[in-house]
Amino acid sequence: MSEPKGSFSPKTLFGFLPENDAWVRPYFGLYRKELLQALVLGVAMFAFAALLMFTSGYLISRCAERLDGGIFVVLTPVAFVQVFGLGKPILRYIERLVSHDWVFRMTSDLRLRLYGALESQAMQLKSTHRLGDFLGLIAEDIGHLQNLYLRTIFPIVIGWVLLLVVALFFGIFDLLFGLAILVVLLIVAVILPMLSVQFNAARIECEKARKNELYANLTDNLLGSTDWVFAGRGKDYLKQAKQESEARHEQAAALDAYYRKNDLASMALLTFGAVIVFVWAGHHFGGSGLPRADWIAAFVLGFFPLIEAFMPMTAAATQANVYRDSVARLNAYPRVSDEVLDVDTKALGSMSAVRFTLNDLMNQVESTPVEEVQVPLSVTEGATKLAQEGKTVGIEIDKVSFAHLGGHKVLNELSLSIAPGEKVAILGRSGSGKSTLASLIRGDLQCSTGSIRIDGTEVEQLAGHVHEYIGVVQQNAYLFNRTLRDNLRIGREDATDEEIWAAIDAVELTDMVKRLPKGLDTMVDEAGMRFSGGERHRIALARVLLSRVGCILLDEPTVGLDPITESALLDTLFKIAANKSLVMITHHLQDIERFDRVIFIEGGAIEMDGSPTELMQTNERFRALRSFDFGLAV
Amino acid sequence: MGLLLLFSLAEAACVITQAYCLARAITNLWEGGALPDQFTLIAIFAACFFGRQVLLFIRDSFLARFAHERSSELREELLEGVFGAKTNLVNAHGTAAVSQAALEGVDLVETYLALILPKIIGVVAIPLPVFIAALRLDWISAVILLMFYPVIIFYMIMLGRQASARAAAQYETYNALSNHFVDTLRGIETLAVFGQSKSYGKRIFKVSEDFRGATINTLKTATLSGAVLDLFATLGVAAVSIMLGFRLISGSILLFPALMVLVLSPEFFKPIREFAGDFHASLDGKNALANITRMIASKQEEHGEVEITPWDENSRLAFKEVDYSYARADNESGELIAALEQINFSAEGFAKVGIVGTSGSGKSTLVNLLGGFAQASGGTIEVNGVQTQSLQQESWQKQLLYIPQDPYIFHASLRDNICFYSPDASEDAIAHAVEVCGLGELVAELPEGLDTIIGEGGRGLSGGQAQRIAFARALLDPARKVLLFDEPTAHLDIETEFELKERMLPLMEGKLVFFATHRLHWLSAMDHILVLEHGRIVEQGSLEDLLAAQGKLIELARAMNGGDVA
Repeated sequence: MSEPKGSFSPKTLFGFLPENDAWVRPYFGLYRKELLQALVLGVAMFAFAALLMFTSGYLISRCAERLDGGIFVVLTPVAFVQVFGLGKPILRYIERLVSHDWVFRMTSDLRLRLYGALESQAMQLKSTHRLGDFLGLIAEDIGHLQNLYLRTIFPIVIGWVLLLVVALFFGIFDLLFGLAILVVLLIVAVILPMLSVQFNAARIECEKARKNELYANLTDNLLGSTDWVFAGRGKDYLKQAKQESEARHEQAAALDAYYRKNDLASMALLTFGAVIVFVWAGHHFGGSGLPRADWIAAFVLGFFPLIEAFMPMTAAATQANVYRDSVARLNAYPRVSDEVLDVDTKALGSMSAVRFTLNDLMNQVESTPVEEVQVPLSVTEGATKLAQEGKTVGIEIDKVSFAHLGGHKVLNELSLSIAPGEKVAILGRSGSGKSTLASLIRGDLQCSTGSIRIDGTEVEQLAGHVHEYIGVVQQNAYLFNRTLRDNLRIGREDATDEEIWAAIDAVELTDMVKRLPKGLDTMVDEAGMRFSGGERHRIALARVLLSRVGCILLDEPTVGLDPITESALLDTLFKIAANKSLVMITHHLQDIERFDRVIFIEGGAIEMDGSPTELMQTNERFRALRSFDFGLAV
Repeated sequence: MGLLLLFSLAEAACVITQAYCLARAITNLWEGGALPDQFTLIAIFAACFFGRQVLLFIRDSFLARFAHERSSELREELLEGVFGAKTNLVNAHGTAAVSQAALEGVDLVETYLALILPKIIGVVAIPLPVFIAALRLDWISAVILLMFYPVIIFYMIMLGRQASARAAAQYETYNALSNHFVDTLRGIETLAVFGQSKSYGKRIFKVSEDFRGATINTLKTATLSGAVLDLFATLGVAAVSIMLGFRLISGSILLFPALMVLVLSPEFFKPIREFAGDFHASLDGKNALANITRMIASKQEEHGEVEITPWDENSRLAFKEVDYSYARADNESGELIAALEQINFSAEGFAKVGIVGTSGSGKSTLVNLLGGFAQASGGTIEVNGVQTQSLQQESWQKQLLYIPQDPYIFHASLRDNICFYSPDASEDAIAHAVEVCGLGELVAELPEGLDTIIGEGGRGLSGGQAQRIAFARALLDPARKVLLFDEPTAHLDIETEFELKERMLPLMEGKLVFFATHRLHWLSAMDHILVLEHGRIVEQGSLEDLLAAQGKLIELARAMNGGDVA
């Protein structure tokens, strides 16, 4: 992506944005008033700084004339000095607030839409994104876009407007002089920055690539650091990391050196500009006596504060290259419309329905432990009631085939009928297609041929509503780093505390939750590490219970559990699923007798199908596996 | 530092000379002097004005190098704590925190050093000469400037301190917000299966908007310090110019000194203003530096390095009354939790030791002690006659091969992954390992065979395939005589486990093996079995003995199989 795809026009910020950019340009239109305010304040701030020195220079010269009127003659300049002196910091203060407010508005909207775009491909996300990419997306891209506005777009627009104002001001006195200043400032504020953008684009690209490489490699190798240490190769990696870091530094240092040279060139030009102003002022106002000569000091001194506005422009413009990737990456996602998101981002009032606030987020982290966790009295009846909710549904799988994009066939005309209330275990080696089957039932993948009906309705027609029929317990059910209550409410957003306690009771976690320092308000540590594997699965089960479904689909829920924990978990599962259909994809034969039916999938088709007792009697392979799985002595 | 001071003094000299030339030339013109007569003064002014930038150029080039060197050192030291044999920073702080510190943290420190150092010196070295110059020109103005200076310093410290506390709080909130966003994205699949992913988008927006409100409120006060500073600095200049005006009218001062003081007065405040501006901006850098230094300092304390001779058929390892306890991360009282107590056992030669017990019985902790990931808190470990409390010894770890439940697969080619422990393995040896460990199918399936990039972001592998790669690593490095397994087959489907068992058993010949598992069928391949319960060894011996004893092992087997001991 070395060459920008956009054309060289103001619309694409001179080739910076792609032609069909959906993540930067739209924000110029959004909250336009605030944006304009921020820019006007920025220009005014620099103008005030210049005018302070301008009026001061004039004031002093004028006073030096020792006029008869005394103080009254200089009242106006004195007043101006005060206005500009006070005004500049105040303007700066307001400008910072307004521009940050605008940028944060933009960020909120950006987060929402980015989430929306990712949400639409939620189920494929894990397989298409490295975790590191996510962090990159979040920490970098959003932050980068904030910086793009705050550090590049704002200073440049402000600088350019100021440039025109200054040139115009000088031009009023003397057209030729105005033009000369215009040329000098154009070089400093437009040509040098543009040159730098062009010249350094590749360098920044390279620096960024090296940085990403360093980041990705370091994260990867940190995760595998035990292996490096054990292999006795830790030093090898340290060397490699150092090389990578130096390679990146090379680029960064070259860029820094460019900036320093550029600053030197800018300063040479601005020195030249100052000399022009001096000579012009001396020529224009000098020699003709007072009071005209009072203006010499005003013009000369007024020029210097402007330097502060123009000097940083090259770095600001070049910095945009850093964000180029972020913009491109964001543009890989479509901009989700308000209708899809179902919010009006302009009217914050519409968000009042969302009860979750920043305070909740922060308070939950800081809340204090309670003396004793209160459990509602009717919790057991609640649990029984909860387990009976939801309509028990059957699943019809009819000659389903599925092939990945590459053409590799995973399922081959597989048919299976699961009656309402039936408990089915599905086994198979990894790669046999059992997980694919689960994805097809959930509607996350579409069958190549054949059809799947839930409760008589085709899965495709249930799009977006499958969760009302089938509750899923994934292999690594995710626990959010929120309170336990929040985690359970994922099952049903409006679940009351009574219902939540009932669900906890049903999965037999009441004692554990009672022991937590803050009960339901206890934060689940990062990635749910506070809870053991068995507890995590129980929490996931409680979620499913709260969602009132009639069929539970478990995707290898017992992986990594020890047999005792697993057995106990299955106990609970069968208790709460008494009135529900149950489909469990599993990898071994623990407690297999509990199921009505056992199905082995191999090569995308059903290889064994029958009740455990039946298979035990008739199937040699089943028998062999069963004894291997349970055997203590061989 | 001395060099930086010199640079700052030279800068001050430029500032004063340029102010002199400027004021003198303007005064001359004002008094009716001819423009061409002023050209020398203007030329000197221009030379000083530009010369100052040249000074900055040289200084910054020098500083950039210094900052890079220092930050590189920090990064190396930090990584040393991870990849060095004696430390385990990652265990103590987590991967994310360490990589954050080693990358963004170090970068922040570099910026901090390159930006802040010269400014701190500038705050002292520039205003002082400027003040002396002003004093000689007009003492009243100099006093006005001086009066404003402490006020500015006072505000900078006062508000700077408040702002830093606020910035820290704000940073925390921002982090919480970012984490919330990332956390939501990570669990998006779970949200999607519950049909909740849409409504969580609204949450993200709501929280983000709340954050905007909170931040703007914070900024109102936090940037106020900057504004007040700015205000005083500009008011200082305005006050000087107005006072000069009055005294010019009364004739108590001439235009030249007045002008020169006026030109100098912004320069007097400039360093402190710049420093104040960066003072806030560089808080991140300071935080990062503190964080990294803390991390480096937390490297595990050195324990006695002992030399453990290579393991052979006559070697002996013994645990004598070994305890292990730890403090829980969220436990403020510092109360220790005992994970292992009074562990006694020994293993000789190429014994195969099975470690069984329920979850939480201490199996993994024992494996961690054996691997040197943790240090015993009591008792001694004796290996080949050497006594120690920790097996975190290079000479031990290089004999060891550790195969966990989820072997880590690097984002690298399959070949590099297989050869990780023996980078110099020959093609033949690799082909043999692939064959023996049953990786042939995978190699054939991958588009570029052994050279296909696997691992996170590359080609995803199943748990069984990852285990096979781990076995291949072990096979390629026969010099490692100690194998440490931590539930290696827990993730595998039963048929894969069955197949892998057949391949693994020959691998264990001629090695000392520790095998922690809850899959009891492995025990028939073990010579000695440790049964753990609540952190203690409750039974140990050969399988025959334990079966005959009808004790804890049988009890465990019953519990696991629902009463059925086949």
